[in-house]
Amino acid sequence: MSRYSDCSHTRKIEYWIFLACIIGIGICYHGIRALAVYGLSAVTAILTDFICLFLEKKSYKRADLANIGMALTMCMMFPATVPYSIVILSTIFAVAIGAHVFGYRKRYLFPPSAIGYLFALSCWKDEILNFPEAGEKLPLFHHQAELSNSMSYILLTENEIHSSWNQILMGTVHSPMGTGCIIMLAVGMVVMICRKQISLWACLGYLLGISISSFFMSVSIHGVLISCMTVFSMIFLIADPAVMPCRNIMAYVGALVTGLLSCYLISAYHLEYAPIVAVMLSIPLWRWLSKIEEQMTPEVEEDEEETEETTPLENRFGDEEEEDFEEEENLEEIDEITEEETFEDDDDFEDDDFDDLEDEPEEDTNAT
Amino acid sequence: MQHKFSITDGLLKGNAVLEKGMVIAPIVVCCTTLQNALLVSLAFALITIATVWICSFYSGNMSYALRMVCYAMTGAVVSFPALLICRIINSGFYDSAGSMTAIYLPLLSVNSFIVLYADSYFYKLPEKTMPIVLLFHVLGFCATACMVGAIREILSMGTIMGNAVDIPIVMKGISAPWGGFILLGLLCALHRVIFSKKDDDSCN
Repeated sequence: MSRYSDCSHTRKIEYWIFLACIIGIGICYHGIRALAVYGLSAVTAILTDFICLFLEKKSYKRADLANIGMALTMCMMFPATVPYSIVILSTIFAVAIGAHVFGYRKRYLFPPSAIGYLFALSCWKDEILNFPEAGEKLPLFHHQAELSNSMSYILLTENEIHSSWNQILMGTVHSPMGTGCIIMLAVGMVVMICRKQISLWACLGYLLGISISSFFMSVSIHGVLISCMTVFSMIFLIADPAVMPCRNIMAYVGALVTGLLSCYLISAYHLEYAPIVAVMLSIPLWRWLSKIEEQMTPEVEEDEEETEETTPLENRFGDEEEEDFEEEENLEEIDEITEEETFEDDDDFEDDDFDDLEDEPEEDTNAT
Repeated sequence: MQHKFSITDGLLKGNAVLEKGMVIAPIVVCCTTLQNALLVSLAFALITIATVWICSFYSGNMSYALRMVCYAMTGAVVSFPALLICRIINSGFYDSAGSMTAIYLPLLSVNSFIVLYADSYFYKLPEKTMPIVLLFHVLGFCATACMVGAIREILSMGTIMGNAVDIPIVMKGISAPWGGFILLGLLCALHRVIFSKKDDDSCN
């Protein structure tokens, strides 16, 4: 039975509602600037899409709206004070390189939002890893907010929590815009799992990986779960079917290794963005598992009508897209065949004959 | 369709880096600034021209394996004086170059121009034209290296040869190897677009 079957429209709405909730919390905590950051990212994603599609000589389709979701997901990992120029450049990078170059409208090689985030991180580390206090309403321009390290960084380096559990769970600590509110993320994750939007097995595998690794690395598991964007990464990066293998066992194994790696990076290097790095490092394994998956399934999929869908989380656009692709391919094939036939049949083809050929359709249309 | 051979092809149209993807590693890793790029270009030019020219005198009857060993050894021997010349020309600059550059400069003695392209391309050309073609290919490499170095320096540090350039935002990550790969990929795509269009125009 397919994990991502039927009622794609409902799922899509759920996904966007979940995104809207997280964005709403960000706006409540950080004011209008958070809205501006999200909005700018979405607009940039659309424009980048249009430009990329224009260069590829393709038309904008419903599937391309997925890139807006990716851009928003990326922005959720940024602080609210992130400069607008960084938002624009990171979004362009994520959409153009992450989405269009590495797996456009198909299974992505890397999660585009992770690519965009790591690009921003490697270029502007200070701007990305310093956060304002939650609840501080930021103006659109020239904010005077005092920035400090994230709660995760303090927890990892000093091994102490200066905030109450209530604050941590509600996300009113120094943290990225969309990754702080653990309760909201946990509820959303449960809903998404129940609605088969994300893989339960991937989530379980990741949690098990973290548990095993934290046991051997002597790290507190609840510390890992409440910090380092762990829950957020689990929902939007690790359990995302756009990159993760589809079969439950493969997703489980892939996520397990990612969890082990993630916890190792947290304990050994104190990386507050460890899950994202772990995802990128696990990609070769995921691709290998996907390849095994493809080798295991072709005969079964051909026979059965209900095939396992491997479309990305944000890319569930039903059959319309595939039909479009098929139509395009058929048209191209027909064009090629007709061209070949015309040139092969006429051995003594000359320029005069070409003129005659051009005239023929006009005569036919007039006749009709 | 076959294109007309031109001895200047290596400079732009048949650029070894942009068209064939050869000798990418030194550009990606070392050419983070224009200064580094100039140093790499100089070392590459000295080592490659001398080695390919010397190796052209070796007998063609040698087995492939033995020939490769000879090429590599010649490259290694040539690299000593070549790097010495680089140091003499600009000692402060050579010493201040990053550790990665220091690693990659000696490795240029076994670059793919010497061990692959020499046998398959340069030595099949007439004796008189071969040095000129080689020169243009080397110039093509140097031009690409300098271009990549200059762009990366501007984008990652906001300077060019150490002089500040007024750009709104700097991206430190571009000086990392992944930045080099992406930039080089974009330049390769641009090269392909330009020259495939030109080819189409000439065909029409």
